[in-house]
Amino acid sequence: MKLFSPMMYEARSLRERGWSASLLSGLMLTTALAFAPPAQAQDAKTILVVAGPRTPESLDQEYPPTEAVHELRRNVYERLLTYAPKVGDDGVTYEDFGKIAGALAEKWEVSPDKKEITFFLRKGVKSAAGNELNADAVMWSFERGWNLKSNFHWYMTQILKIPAFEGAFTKIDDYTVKVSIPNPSPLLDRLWINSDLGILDAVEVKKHVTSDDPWAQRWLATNSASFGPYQVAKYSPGQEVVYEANPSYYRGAPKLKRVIFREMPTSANRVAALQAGSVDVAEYLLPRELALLEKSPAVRVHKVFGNYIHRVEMNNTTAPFTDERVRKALNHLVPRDDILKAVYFNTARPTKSPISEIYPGFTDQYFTYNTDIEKAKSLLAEAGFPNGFKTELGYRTGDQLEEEMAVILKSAFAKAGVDVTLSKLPASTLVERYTKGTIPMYFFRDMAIVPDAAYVANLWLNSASLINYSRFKSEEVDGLINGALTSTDEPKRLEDMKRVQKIMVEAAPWVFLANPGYQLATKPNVKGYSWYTPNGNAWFDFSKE
Amino acid sequence: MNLQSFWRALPRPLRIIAVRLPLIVPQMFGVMLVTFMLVRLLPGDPALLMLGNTATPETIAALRERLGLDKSIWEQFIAYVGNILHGDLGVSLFTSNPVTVDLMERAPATLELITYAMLLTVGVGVTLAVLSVVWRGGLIDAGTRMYGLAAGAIPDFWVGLLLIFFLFYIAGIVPAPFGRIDALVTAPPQITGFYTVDSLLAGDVSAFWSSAGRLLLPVLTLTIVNAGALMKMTKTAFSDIYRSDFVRYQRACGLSERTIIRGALRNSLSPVITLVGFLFGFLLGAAVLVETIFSWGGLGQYAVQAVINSDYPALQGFVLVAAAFILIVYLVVDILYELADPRIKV
Repeated sequence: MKLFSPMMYEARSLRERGWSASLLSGLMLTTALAFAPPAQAQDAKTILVVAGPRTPESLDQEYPPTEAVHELRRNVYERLLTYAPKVGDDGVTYEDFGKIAGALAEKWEVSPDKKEITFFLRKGVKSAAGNELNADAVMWSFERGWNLKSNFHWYMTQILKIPAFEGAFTKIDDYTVKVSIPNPSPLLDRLWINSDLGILDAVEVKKHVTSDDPWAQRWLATNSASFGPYQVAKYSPGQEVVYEANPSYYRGAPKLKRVIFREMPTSANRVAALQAGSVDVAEYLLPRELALLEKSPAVRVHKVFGNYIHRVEMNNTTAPFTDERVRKALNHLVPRDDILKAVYFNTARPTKSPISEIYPGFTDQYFTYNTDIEKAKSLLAEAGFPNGFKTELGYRTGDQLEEEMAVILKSAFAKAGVDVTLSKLPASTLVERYTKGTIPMYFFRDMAIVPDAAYVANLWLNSASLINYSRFKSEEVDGLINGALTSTDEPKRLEDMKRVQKIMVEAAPWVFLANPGYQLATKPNVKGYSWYTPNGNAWFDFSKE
Repeated sequence: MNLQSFWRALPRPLRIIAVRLPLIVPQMFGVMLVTFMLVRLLPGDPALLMLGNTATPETIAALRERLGLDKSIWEQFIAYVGNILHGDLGVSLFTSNPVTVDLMERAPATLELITYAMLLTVGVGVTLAVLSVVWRGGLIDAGTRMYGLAAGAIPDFWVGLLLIFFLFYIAGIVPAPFGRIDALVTAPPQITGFYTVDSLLAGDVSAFWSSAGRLLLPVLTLTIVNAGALMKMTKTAFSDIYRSDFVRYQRACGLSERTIIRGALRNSLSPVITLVGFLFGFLLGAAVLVETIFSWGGLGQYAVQAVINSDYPALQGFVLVAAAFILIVYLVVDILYELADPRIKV
C-alpha cells in the first residue's frame, strides 16, 4: 500500500493543476474572442457582402457562360444596348422585352432590310481605369471576340451568320461602328443586349498583350477592364471576388461602393450567415431553406418566375423513347403537384412549354399532361410495353433537388412498371454521357438568355443544334425555326413559334417538370432587387438603408 | 579520412535524409506518370462541360486544341513533364489561375488548418490517454472510454455543423465560421501563408484576431474527430509500458511519479508518431468536408472540384503537392522514429 501513496498524491496534484490550467486557458480563449474587435461599421451602407455557391471561373468574357460568370459580366462588362427597365406588380425591376434602349451606344439604326446596324457611341463614357470609350475600343473588342472563337464568335456565326470579320464590322468614325450581316435577322438589335457581348477597355487590355498572347487572355482571365458599373479589385477563385465601384460609370456612380462576394459552397451556411447578419445577401438557397427564411423578420426573400426550365430529357433515338407514346406516358406519370410541394415548397410552377413562360410567344395551350396513371398504362401497352421496361435516369452529384425529384420520379414511374435505375454522376461524366447519347434519361436545367422564342427553340429543338441533347427531330420544327431566325415578319414568327410549341409538346421529347424560378434572400435593408435574363444580380440597382 | 568514416561521422538524422531524399525523385516521377494516366482514364470531357450552350463542332475543336487534348496521350505527357521542369503546372480550367498560384494560395490555408488541428489533437489525445491510464477507473477514464467509442463513429461534417449551430447560431459566442478571415478585414501580406503568423509578422492585430477566431471551429471539429483515435492508440501503448516491469522497478526505487510518467510516455512514442504522421498526411486531402462547411478554400476542396469538373491540370497539381507533402511527412516520421527509439534502424 505504501508503494502507491506517493502516486496518489502526485496524481491529485496533477489533476488539480490540469483542471485549473485548462480552465484558465479556456477562459482566456473565450474572453479573447469576446473582445475581438468588431468589423468596421462606418461603411455599412456602401458595402454589400454577398454569399454565393461559387466564384466565377474566369473574368474573361470569352470563357463559356456559367451562372457565376453571368453575374460577374452583368456587373463588370457594359454592352452596347439594353432593355428599358419596367417595374413589375411585385415591385421588382424587370426588363421590358418590347423596348430596347441605348447603353454604350446612345443611338442605333437598323437598316430597313434588317441587314445592317449602326451604333452611335455615347460620348464621354469612361472605363474604371479612366479611358474613354470610342470606336476603336468597340472594334478591338469585336476583333478579339472573333479571333478567340468562343462566345462572341458563336453569336456572330451561329445567330447572325456572319462569314468573315472583314466587311462585317466597320468603323465609320471615332464614335460610329457598323455591323453588316448577310441575311436579315430579327435579332440584329436585340442580340447586343446579351451580357456576353460587353465592350472592353481596349487601351487598358492592350497594355497586357504579349507576343505569345495577342489577345491578353492570361491577363483578362483574372482582371477586368470595361465600362461597367464595377471593376474587379480582387479575384481569388474559390474564396472571394471584390467589386469596386467605377466612379465614372455613365449612369452615375453606383450607390454600393464595394461588393464582396464570398464563396460558401454549403447552402445551409449561407442561410446561417444571413440570419446571423454576417452577410447581406444569400444566393441560390434551397426551397426548403427559403420557406423557413420567409418566416423570419430579419430576412427578406425575393422570388421571381424567371426563364429557367427544369426537365428530364429523354434520348429520343434510344429505344423505347423512340416511341412517342412511351414519352407521353412518362409525362402522364409525373406527380407535378407533389414535386412542387415536396421539393420546391411552392417556389416553382409547372412548366408547360419548351419556351420560357415570360418570353414573348410563349403558350401553354397545348399542354395536356395531367397525372393519369391509367392513361399512361394504356399508352405503354399500345407501345408494346404493357409491363413497363427498365431504364436509367442520371443526375448531378451534389444537386439535392434533382436527387429528391429522382426518388419521386422513380416511384411514380414504377406505378406503370417502368423500373428506373438512378445514377448519380459527377457533372463532367453526366455531360459527356448525354452529349454522346449514352444515357437514356437525365435531368436538365437550363435557360436561354435571349428573350426570343425562335432563339430558344433553336437552341433546344433544332435538330442541327449541338445542345439538342434529347435528339428531338421534326422536319417541320426545323423548317419553322430556320425560317423564324431570318424572317423579320414578327406576327408570323410568333405564329410559327406557336406551331413549334404545339408539335413539340405533343411529341413530348422531355418529361416536363417545373419552372424553378429565381430567388434571392437579403437582409430587409437591402433594396432595389432587379431581375435580368441571365439570372445574375446587378449590384448597380441595389442599395442599403 | 575515407568516405565510410566520414559517413559514420555524420549525425544520424542527416544520414537518413541523405539516403532518403534521392529516393523522392523516382517516387515523384512515378506519381506523376500514374496520376497523368489515371486522370485521363476518368470519364468526362472538360471541353464539353465548359462549353455548354455555345458548343459547336468548331468551338469544341478550338477548345480541345487550346487545352492540348487533341494530341496523343504520350505527347501530352511529355509536354506536361517539360512544363513541370520549368515550374509550370498548367492553368486550371475552372479558376483561370495558373495551378501553381492556386496551390500556393490553398496549400497554406489547409496546412494552417491541419497544423493547428494536429497540435491540438496531439495535446488533447495524449493528455487524455495519460490521465485515463494514471487514474484508471476514474471519471476521466470512463469519459475517454465513451469518447473513444464515439470518436470512431462521428463524421466530421456533422460535428462541424453542430458546432456552428450551437456556438455560432444559437449562442453567438464564436465569430462567423465562413472563410479564413472576416470579409471586411484585409488579409495580411503573404510570407508564410499562415494568416495567424503573417498577421503577427505584419503587426496587424485585427487580422490576427479575425483569422485566429475563424480557425477555432474548424480546428475544434478536426480535433474532436481525430483525437479519439490518437487517444486510443496512445492509451494502449502507454498502459502496457506503464504496467511493465521496469516502471514497477522505477517506482520501487522511489522515482517521482512525474519522472515515471515521462519515461513511460517516451517509451510509448513510436506508435503515436506513426499515427500522427499518418493523420497529418491524410488530413491534407481528407479535410475536404470540413473545408467545404467552413468555406475554407483549401486544398481538399480544390481537389474535389477538380475531379468533378475533370480539371486535369488542377487535379495533377494537387496530387503532386499531396505526394510531395506525404513523402516529406514520412521522412520526418522516420527521423523522429530513430530519435525516439535508437534501436530502430530505418
